[in-house]
Amino acid sequence: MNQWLSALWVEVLKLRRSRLFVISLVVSLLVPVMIGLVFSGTIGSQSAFEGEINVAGFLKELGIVVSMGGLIGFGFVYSWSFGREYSDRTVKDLLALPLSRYGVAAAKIVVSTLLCEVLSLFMFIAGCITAWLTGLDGWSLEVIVQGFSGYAQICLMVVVLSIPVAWMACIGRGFLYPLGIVLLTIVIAQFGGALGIVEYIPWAIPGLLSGASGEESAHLELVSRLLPFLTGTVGLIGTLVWWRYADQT
Amino acid sequence: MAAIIQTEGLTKHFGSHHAVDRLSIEVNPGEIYGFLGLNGAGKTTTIRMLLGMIRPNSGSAYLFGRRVDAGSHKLWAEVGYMVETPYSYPELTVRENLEIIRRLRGIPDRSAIDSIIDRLQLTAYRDRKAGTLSLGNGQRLGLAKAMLHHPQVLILDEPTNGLDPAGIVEVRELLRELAADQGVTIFISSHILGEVSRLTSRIGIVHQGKLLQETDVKDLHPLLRRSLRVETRDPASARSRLTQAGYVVQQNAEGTLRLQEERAVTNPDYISKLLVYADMPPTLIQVEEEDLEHYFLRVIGSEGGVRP
Repeated sequence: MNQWLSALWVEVLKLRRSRLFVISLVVSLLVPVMIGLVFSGTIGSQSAFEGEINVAGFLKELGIVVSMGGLIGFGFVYSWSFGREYSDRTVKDLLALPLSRYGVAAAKIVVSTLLCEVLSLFMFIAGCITAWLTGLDGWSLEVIVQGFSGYAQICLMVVVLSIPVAWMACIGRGFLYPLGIVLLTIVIAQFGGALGIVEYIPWAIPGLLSGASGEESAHLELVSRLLPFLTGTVGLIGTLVWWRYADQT
Repeated sequence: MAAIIQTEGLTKHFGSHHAVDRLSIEVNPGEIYGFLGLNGAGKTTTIRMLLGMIRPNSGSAYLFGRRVDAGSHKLWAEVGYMVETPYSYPELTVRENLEIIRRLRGIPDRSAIDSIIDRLQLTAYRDRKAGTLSLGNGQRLGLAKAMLHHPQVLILDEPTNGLDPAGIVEVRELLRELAADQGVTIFISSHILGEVSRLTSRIGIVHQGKLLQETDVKDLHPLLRRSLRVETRDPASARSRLTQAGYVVQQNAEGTLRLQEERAVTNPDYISKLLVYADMPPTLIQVEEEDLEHYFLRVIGSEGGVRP
């Protein structure tokens, strides 16, 4: 257990010292601030947004942005965490330690997941502060709590959907392959819409749930809501099994 | 004496390419074993199999008598290793990179980092980011990571790569000391026989995945070929005279004559006399011993089909 905690400590150190950490924090701050400024009419045109122009509408918009942009952003976090060990050629230092390989890979997944969740929370808080500072209508604790419930659900789904990217980074031994896969999943999600099977495409579910395709499609069946978690579980098992059993040439 | 490192018929192929082919070796406690081969001979693949990073297609590797498997992680507590060129996290300092290894290896003694930094002469670079280190200092950091936990076994892939001559001697002395004073068993791969023979007690020569020869370094000397080098002012006539006397003489582009027969090598005085009487006195006559690199190339050339 102690050594597993050490593995967590090591992953946090690597993350803290990385550019990814600073860049992801800056992006998480800028995105809600920019949306908030446009939404409130401080800059740009409010006509770019559909629906109500108030805090509830703004938080919904934030969820829509995360449902799509999060796949790229969170995907990059997992891609970096695993892919960097290959591109920096440091992976071999992690393979023959008195600590199970499952433990090393699990520590990476835990820290990446926590970072994604923290970034989501950071975005939400930055969004709420922006909404308050720009004087958007309907700012109240009740609206914030209500908005957070839907937002958190979408964020959780997007983060879970990004876990298979870690597996792809291991298979591709770097960054490019997993990022290609991320783009492919977004294309598949769009294509699913055209074919009318969008509610069965895991990467499209957060978008549907956020109301990006209209309120009527936000009411999903249980099977659709479970698909992202099933995909994440497959990604988690794939990553752990690959880390443990694949030849590390 | 039970072998600390052992492989039995270790085989790995990637598609139709046989990277390692039925390799069987044994390394005894406190021994420094040199694993010698050209690039692509299968050295690194063997080391990766010894470390459980690659699963063999057949055969097995054993450390401390226990079969190596990716899941047998407790085994690695007593093993330090360096595979190919060592790399470290570039944005972290030397100290932080070692702190990572200290934590992952569960070493309670925090001072272990300062000790190994001093021992590998990295003190001046301890707070320098690893990404800014020279190749040689990067190599020292790799060695520091391998030795931080005072392992009983060290598996090192070309450990002196990138080091300057002083660094090579320093590392050689350090490894020799570890084996002699602390009984550490060391397995070193290299493609330079001269370097390996100065450090190891036994060498195994591998080529195209196969172990061609295994010998104690002390038995290496008699295996080296000797020849008699002769230089005269008129090499063509001298060659003709020696051939007339029944010797097989080779002549290179510079006119140097070389005789490899035992009777010539053991009787240079007779050759000298022969040439003096023919009025072609030698300007140089010398018994030369094949250097280790030529020997190495000859072994893999004759056994493996590669011409030196």
